[in-house]
Amino acid sequence: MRVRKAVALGAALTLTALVSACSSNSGSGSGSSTLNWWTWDDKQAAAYKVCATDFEKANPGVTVKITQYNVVDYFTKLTAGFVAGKAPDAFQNSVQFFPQYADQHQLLPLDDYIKKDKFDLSRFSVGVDSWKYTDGHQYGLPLDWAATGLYYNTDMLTKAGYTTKDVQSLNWNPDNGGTIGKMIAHLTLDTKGRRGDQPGFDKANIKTYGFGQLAAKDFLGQSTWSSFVSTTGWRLGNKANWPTQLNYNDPRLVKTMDWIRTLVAKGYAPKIGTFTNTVSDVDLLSSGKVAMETGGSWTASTYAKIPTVKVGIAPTVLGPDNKTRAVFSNSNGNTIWAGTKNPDLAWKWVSYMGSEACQTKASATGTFFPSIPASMDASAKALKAQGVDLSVFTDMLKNKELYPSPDFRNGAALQDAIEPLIEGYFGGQKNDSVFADMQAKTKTILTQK
Amino acid sequence: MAVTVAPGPAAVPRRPTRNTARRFSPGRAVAWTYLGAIVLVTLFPFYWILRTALSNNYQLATNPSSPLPVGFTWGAFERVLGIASTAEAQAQGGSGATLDIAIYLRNSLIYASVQTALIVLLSAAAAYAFSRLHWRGRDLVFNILISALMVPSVFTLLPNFVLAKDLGLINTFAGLILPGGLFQAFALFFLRQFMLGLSTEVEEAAIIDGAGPLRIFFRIILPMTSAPIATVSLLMFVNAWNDYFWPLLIADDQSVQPLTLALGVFKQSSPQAAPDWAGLMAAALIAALPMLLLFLAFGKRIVNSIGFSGLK
Repeated sequence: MRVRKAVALGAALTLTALVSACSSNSGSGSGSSTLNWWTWDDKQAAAYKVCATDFEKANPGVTVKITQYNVVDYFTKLTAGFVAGKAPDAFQNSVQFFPQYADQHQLLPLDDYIKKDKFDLSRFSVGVDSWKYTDGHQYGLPLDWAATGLYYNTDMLTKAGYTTKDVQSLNWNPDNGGTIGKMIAHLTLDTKGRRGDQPGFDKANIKTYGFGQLAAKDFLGQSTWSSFVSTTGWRLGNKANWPTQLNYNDPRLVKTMDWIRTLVAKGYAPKIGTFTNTVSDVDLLSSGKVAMETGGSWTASTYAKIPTVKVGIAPTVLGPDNKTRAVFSNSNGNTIWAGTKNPDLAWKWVSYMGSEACQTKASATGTFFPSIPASMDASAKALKAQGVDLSVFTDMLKNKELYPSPDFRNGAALQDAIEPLIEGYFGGQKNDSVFADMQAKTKTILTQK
Repeated sequence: MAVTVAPGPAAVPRRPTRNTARRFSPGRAVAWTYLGAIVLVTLFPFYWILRTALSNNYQLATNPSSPLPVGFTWGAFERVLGIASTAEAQAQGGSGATLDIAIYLRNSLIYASVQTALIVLLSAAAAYAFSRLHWRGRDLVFNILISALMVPSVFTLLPNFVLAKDLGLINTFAGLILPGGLFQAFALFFLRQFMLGLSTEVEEAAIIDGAGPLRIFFRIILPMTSAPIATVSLLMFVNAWNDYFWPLLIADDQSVQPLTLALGVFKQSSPQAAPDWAGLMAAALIAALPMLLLFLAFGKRIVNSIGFSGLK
């Protein structure tokens, strides 16, 4: 009998917990002064809490709730939220998905608010146009910007006989690789300690690759081939925004891809699939598997924290003319859900996030680069005090070496169609003719409604 | 004081009995080596999870093949248990995400146990009906229900979600539990197979004693079916505990989100960003812990149930 009583008690307790959990939930959910904001970036979730606290202080009775989902789940959850009518009031958004959401009328146009508040969009140095849609409406404010740079293992560089000055102005061309081509060969080490440009070098047993992953399926090439080919004047789209085709069949890109294949064939850079997708740039460089690589500006502060490896940052390569540098830059945006019950409050929060006060505070940890120049300067200063030099990236911004990623439709479909082809090319199953196929595919997908 | 033990009667040499003979034979050596290797291969990933969980995330990649934790720290566990401050977590390569693990644990327990209880009760009742009642079209209805086994769960996700939305069950325990709890084709099929084999004479005796159908079901059939019910319960509990996608769709905040979902913050936050491996592994261990305890307590039963049902 005792057992039965215990079971009954347990069941009763579970039910009580269930009921109380349900009731507490319905109580807090209907509160109108709770503002939900979502991001996929765990670091930004932590960074913007500072702004949320200030915002709550300035607006008594308002609670800002920041929620983070990892990027794989983020857009699934967002779509489920749209369907269920429970999407967040405002959220971080990616250029790749924004046209689709705007077409589905899930995003609130911000033009009226911008006009009413006389919100000055020129305060942002990058990213404003990325958030303007083909219907002429501004749907988002830029939250950040990102570029790429060359990250290198300082010890390996010194051991190979280079100084950190040598990496600051490397040039490149698709024919012989330029000065960076020579450096990549020399930085590569086989397991017996022979360098890539020395006789007897064994390309089958590599200890350290001279350069990180270039043969990757990434269809934008942001942290792989883009900063190389862009120096030749090549651009991804046939128009700066809303292109009708992507220029994969341009001879300049084809030549660049061929150069990457020879680099891999010589053992200077890893083959596609040598490292899995979950191995990040940071993992590669800090484990000593690669001596140098192209990496996102967003990892600069992470490299600085690796205790045993010293990582230096250099600008990306100069082109065949030895003076052009061009780096693909993108900006995530802050958008408001069309179905929010509190559009005014959501705008208040979004526009506060787009203010110098908030951006300066939130970016102090260096986990993202603010789009407002004054905040960027403050962030760079704060990080310099921690030993992280961001001048490589701020110089690119000042020297106008950045060009914005184009806005395009059907980003997800494009990615699904193009990536297997690039994978096939680098995997050796496809030859140069694949690029014509790729270009034709982009034409079909980009013009689809 | 030293005690000398007087030599006893001359020890009779013990005759080796057949059962205890442990003579060396090459076959036995091979068998043991094989077994040892299998155990090692099985357990090694768990060790690797533990070793990674006890590492400093920033240092981890600097020595990826080290057999011992790199830069030993309890930090990852502190992050997962929500006792590390944001600053501490970030200093060790964590995301700065913190968890209120007690709430998520409670949610997981409610989700898994209530759903299991529902499945068992409803499936057993239905199985009993299908095994005892005779009516026209019974087998057809049963076959239709069982054919649900052939429908991949991805197909039912969206309809279920839309229905839950229309019923206003988004972000409630009811929405979380009911779709999986109301009907499980496997449990129904499994319990019915067993009940078909129960002798009807016991029930007839009960009827003579004046028991009604409900009384027979609760007092006679359920106790007699306790072994397969335990099997179904364990399988369903483990399933619900590990479930990720349905809770992801339906649960919006920590009042209902189960542990699996909460631990998702330790996954790769964005493409090309370095994930918090140490945190992820610590989270995986903690999420698996209740399952591990369950296995320790009911190990034999689980092994039986796998053999019984052919399911893992």
